[in-house]
Amino acid sequence: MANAERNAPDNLSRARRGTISFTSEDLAEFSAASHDRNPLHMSEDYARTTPYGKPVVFGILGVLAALGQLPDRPGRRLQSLSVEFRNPLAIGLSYRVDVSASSPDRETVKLYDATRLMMKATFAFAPGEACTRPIQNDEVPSIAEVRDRTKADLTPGTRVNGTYGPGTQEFIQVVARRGLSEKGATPHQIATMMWASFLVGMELPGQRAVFWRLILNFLPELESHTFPFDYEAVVQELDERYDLLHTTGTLSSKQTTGATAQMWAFVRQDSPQPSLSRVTELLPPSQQLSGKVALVIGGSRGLGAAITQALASQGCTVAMNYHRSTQEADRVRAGFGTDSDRIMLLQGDAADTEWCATARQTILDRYGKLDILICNASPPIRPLPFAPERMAQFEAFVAGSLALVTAPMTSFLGTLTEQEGWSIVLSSTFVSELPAEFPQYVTTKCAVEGLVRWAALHYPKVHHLIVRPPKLLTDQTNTTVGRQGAMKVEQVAAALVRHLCSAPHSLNAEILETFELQREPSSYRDTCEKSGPDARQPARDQPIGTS
Amino acid sequence: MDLHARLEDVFRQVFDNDHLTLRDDMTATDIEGWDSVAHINLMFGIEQAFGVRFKGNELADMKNIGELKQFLSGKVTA
Repeated sequence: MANAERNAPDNLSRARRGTISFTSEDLAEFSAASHDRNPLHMSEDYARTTPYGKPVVFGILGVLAALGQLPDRPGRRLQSLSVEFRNPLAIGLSYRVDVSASSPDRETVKLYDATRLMMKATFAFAPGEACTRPIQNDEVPSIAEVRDRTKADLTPGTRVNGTYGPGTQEFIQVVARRGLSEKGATPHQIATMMWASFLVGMELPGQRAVFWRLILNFLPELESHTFPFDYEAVVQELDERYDLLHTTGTLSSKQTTGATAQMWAFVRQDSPQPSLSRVTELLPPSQQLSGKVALVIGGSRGLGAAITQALASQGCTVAMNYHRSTQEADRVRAGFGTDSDRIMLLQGDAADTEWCATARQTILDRYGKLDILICNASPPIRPLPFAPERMAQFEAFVAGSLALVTAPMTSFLGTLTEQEGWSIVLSSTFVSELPAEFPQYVTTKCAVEGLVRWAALHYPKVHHLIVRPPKLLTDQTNTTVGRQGAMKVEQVAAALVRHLCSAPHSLNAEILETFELQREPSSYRDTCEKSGPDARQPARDQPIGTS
Repeated sequence: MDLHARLEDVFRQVFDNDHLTLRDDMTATDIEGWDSVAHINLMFGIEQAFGVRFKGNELADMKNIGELKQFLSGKVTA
């Protein structure tokens, strides 16, 4: 087979297809091999606070998996590698691989999530025997902890250097698992790819990195290097428009350069934290909702946290549901200082009717009633191709997301009827904008709105409100592109609570979709006005010609 | 290669579609896969290919491909 490949370059020009996937164990193994311990890949808790919701696959692990898809290549050695990381790869999904060759020595591997291009790696080879000298490194890299460099730390000319070598045993395991030993890439070259992962994920920029592009050029001298390599990297530019960091780097040994690198990575900004002071700037504290009891489903982060703050700032007692974000829930509650007893924490899965039944009993036992239910929670929202191979993910999202509304509504509408209270459901402007990349989210929100209209007819004593905010600045949208044009959650929360204070009872489900608020004078205490009819939402981040 | 062909080449790379044909009246909704991530790839792709630099979100404010070409023809010397 190897000879056939060597003697028949036409074989290389045929497009080949396959699939690859990644497990948590793959990530752990790659991390141990590369010494890249960036928490975006390694920590469930950390990843939950990012737009990705779950740990994402190391980009370079994707590259190695792509390399493993190439035919064996005796008599050839890798010369250069160019990678575009278009979208993060997820654990547990099967990705389609397309391999094409523009010449016998130049192959491009594309990974697709159904129809969506996720990664494109081009490998260029040249004649030469691949060195098979086994790798041996007993040194650990000169940094062990991931750096957390902000934009201010990344001025052009910022320079880092140190020593690098992969973890020997884990390196051998990765090479064996991905079948890399005959692909024309030497162990030293594979170690260089791992170094690029290490440098971006641990050093420049470190924790906030989202790898975007990589170009590696390998020199013949690399093969004579001994571990650990010396490395040096320099910040070339931080493009402020999109927080894109351009770094160049070299690997050397005894002052002889073995490889050069150009790396681009986005620098993620801090997770946006809802601010009680911003809420009270828009909605001065009052006691308008004193004596009322609210349950906020998904109340510890993002818009839910801001709604909790806005309700409590008006004297409302809030049962704040959260699932896993204990730290964030504690922070929201602590923000009320001596009034923190207005907020009761209710941890649990609100999509579970048994949990809802327990929560209902807890609330009734303590407060004797429930006046306001706000269904705000959602699973992580990631772009999802509408394709047969992604129907399982589509259905799981819709079912999980719907349950976060249906379970609380079935459990609490009776209680709300007794109080002639409010049932409020968070929808989105996406129900009318219909963005291509979120069919599961649009479907869910349309279904939820249908349910609210049904409930308005059959539970007429309850006020039913659909809230359609535009794109919001939350953990879920906190990407370079996602932040642009995003509305602050406090604005929506303040408008929602103001509406709740003032709106007369309607027999139909109401829709709240304007959130413009004039700042009230500090004397404002006793009235709540509906948001103005001329209010305009900021445009969602839209590309050319659609706004 | 004229400006239209060069721009088309960038679009084909970014949208991974060798058969994509640009028309002046095209907008984002006419091109499959033009989401926010593709947008940023497109912006940097155009900058690299034409040696220009967009201010902020300038690209998003353009009405259609024709306006983008007009912008580029004013910046790029033949």
